[in-house]
Amino acid sequence: MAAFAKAKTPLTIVQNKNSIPTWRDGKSVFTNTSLIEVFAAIERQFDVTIEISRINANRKFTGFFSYEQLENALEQVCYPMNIKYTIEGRTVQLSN
Amino acid sequence: MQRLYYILLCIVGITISAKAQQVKIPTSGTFVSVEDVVTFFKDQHNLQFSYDVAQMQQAFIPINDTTLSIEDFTEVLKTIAITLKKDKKGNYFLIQSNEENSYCVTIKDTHSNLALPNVTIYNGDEYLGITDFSGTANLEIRPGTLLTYRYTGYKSVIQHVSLSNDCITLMLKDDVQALEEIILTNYLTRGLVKNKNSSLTLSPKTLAILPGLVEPDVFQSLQLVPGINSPGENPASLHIRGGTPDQNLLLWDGIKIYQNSHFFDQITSFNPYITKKVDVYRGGTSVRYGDRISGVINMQSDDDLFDTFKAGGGMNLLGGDVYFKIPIFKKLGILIAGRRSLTDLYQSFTFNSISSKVFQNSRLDASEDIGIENETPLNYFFSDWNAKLMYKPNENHSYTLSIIKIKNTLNNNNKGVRDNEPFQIGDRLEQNNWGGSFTWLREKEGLTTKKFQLFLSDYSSQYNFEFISENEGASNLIATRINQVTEFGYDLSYDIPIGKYHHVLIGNQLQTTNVSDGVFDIFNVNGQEIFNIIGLVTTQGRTNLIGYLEHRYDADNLFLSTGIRAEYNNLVGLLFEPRVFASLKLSNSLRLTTSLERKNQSFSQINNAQIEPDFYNLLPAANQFWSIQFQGTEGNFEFLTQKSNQLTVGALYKKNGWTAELEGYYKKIDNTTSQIDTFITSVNTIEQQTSLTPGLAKRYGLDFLLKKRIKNYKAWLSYTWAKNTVQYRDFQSLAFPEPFDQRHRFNLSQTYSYNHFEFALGWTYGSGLPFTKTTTGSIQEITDLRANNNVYGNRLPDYHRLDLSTIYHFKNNGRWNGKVGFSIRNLYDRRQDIQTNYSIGIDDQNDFFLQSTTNESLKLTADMVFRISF
Repeated sequence: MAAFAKAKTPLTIVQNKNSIPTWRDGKSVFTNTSLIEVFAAIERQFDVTIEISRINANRKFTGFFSYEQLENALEQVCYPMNIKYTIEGRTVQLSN
Repeated sequence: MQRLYYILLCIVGITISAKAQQVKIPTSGTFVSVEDVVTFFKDQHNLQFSYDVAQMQQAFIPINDTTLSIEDFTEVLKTIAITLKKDKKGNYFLIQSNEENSYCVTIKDTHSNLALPNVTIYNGDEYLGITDFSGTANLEIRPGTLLTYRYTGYKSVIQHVSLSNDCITLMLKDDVQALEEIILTNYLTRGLVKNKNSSLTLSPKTLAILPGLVEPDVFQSLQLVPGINSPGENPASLHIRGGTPDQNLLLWDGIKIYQNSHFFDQITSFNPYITKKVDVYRGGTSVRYGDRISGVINMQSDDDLFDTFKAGGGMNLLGGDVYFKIPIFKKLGILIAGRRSLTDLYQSFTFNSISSKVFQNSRLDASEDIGIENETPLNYFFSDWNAKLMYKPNENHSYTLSIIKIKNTLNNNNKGVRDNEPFQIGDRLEQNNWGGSFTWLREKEGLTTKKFQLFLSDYSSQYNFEFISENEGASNLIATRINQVTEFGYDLSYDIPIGKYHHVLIGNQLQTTNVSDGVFDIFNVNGQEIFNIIGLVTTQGRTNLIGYLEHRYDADNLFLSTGIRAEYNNLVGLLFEPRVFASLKLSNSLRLTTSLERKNQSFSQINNAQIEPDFYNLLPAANQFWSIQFQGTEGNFEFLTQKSNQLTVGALYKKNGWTAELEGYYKKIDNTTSQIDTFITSVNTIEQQTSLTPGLAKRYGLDFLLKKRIKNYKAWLSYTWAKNTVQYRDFQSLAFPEPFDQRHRFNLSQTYSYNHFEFALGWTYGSGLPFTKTTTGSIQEITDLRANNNVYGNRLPDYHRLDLSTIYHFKNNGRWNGKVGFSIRNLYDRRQDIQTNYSIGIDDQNDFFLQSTTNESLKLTADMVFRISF
């Protein structure tokens, strides 16, 4: 965890431009959006069926998912929202 | 597995781009929600964050600087169990574990270091729970939550929960205004404070346990204060420094109340569970208060009606109660509360024991054999109801509508046989006092306090005694006793601060009072009605206009209040009441006080002489009338006002957990009425005198209190020496003791709390009350008594009793509080003569004679209570 070493006198910011070559068109961004809409967008993007009945899908999410891979997209949403997922073919099961 | 890989990637990514990013925070020195901080990073640096919105809105971090770097942000987030991760593309993820942490807090009063129960805890607008009796609450909450602690009369406190807290203690401060005025926070115990102006403030709900009490009965609690007692051992009948109960001014939300009790002085008629505070003056009365010459008991109902729905209820062996506090909008709230006896459902041993005290020496006492059968069990009922609507558009303004209704009914039927003639006897009593008030109040620290209050009070008492012969054509009797008081008035006042040390209070009141009395019998002999006026039949109105002015100087070491209350009324004209109070702080441990005051009173609660033929008697308990005071006979009428001048001198000393208080007083009362004394009224009636010239009464007294607290153990000792005399020149040449004159009264109380238990034990010793010893009760005997200055020349024996109580508080789960309590009054069941009453008997020659009955103290009486509130 050395990366998080506390800097007492913060340095000036330099955006690391190298790490975001494709972000502009490679992802969907959400602000205060219900999970119903977020997972519907993932379903459309990756042509899968996401089973949301076992979670509280009314919770609000701020963030994004990228278009590269279904797994990455799910991780990017489920990780901060504390949701577990399993992929079975074209179906994704969500649980708390 | 995949997740681990992903996180690893993130860390690597961050290591590569470990460049600090910093944001400006506009509001430093406070708590800011994580979402707000994230927004700053987004806006100022165009960073991308992913998070659960609800969680990050409710998680707060302390901000002490105007700037924050992403690294510092990451570190601070760790203290509230939030992880900030960054992926290789520079996107941030905020993750809070779903776990709630157990967290406990104990709330104490800054001043006294004593625990505060019933403090409400909120997360924003969400109500989380309340502290239990030990001031502790256990909560399951997420770190980062901002908790708000609210408690009536105290400043609210906001507290941030981080991972490092597990069990902390938090101190709550009184509202500045209240704090300035208090000089002793635990006068006897928690919930009773002594103010700078020498008045006391009782908070029934925070009151710690008191001996013999499981419910915080307002008046009964006050009887532990030196100088306040009940010589007849009646919980609701307060004698304050030689004053009778009718000489106390009782105000409920500004409504003047004429019915002080349920069950004939055994229960105070005010619901303690919705009483916010009670201000009590024994002396040094403010110019706001008048029309009564003894103490002031100013009660205010609860005003915590806005935050959340609250309810509570309880039951003891006499009755039950329930209350609801309902917020309608954020600024509008309703209070509804009711209390009633459950005697119609069951008659407990507590009820039986109390009723045998109340009705002793009368036909309603089941334990007495007086040749009369009780046809039904004692049919007695009481209730009180409160409703309050409060609108508070902002912190400083409030509009309040308050309504109270107090009701007592007795309905009893008995059967008997006299001269082989069967008869029925009925006792029907109904007493009601209902009232309402409207109050507008503007109160803000440093600004003029403005108050406008309108009130209406309506008291009525009707007693019917029915004697009905079951033989055809025999004579029947209906005796009726009616008393009605209707009062309407307003109070307008301005309390103006001038500079740092001065306050001026200026106000105006108008009151219209109408009092009616009717004491008459209707005989029905052979179908013909004979109407017979026995006592007073009067209707009298009084209108008074009052102006008052008071200046207060309040510096560090001296508090000085000087004022005048001027009244004009249509009965006696102009009255002036100067009032002065001074309190001097000599050192941190010693304070001296003195007061000088004058008060007037035109209405008194009097007794009517009771003529009791052998075959029936009226209920002594129903023989009290509010009446205007006058002398002379028809055509030669003069209204009288009792005038009391009082001097009080006192000292208060506190050091190392010890508190000592000594107060002495002298009071001179002109124009007293002899009609409160059953001995004099009976003798007058036998001698066919109409009324006596008014008397001159004197009160001398010393009140002493010594208190010591050692952690959870508290003990106090109070002692009162008093001398109460009165002189009626045309009755006896010398002054004689008042019937309630108790020379010595001593009380030793101890309370101890251990875990969830509270215990209290109190021992009271009182010297016997005076009585006049007669053998035959003939006119000759009484004339001799008076010639020899022997009126009230004898004393009943001294008495003592031991009371105990214990309360168990249920463990608090943060949502509701509960308790069970148990009390015993007169633990060693000492039965003793305590008070003598007089009435008129009729002998075989149809001549009157004086007879007396002596009542005993309450026998061993146990009570239990169960309560919950949430």
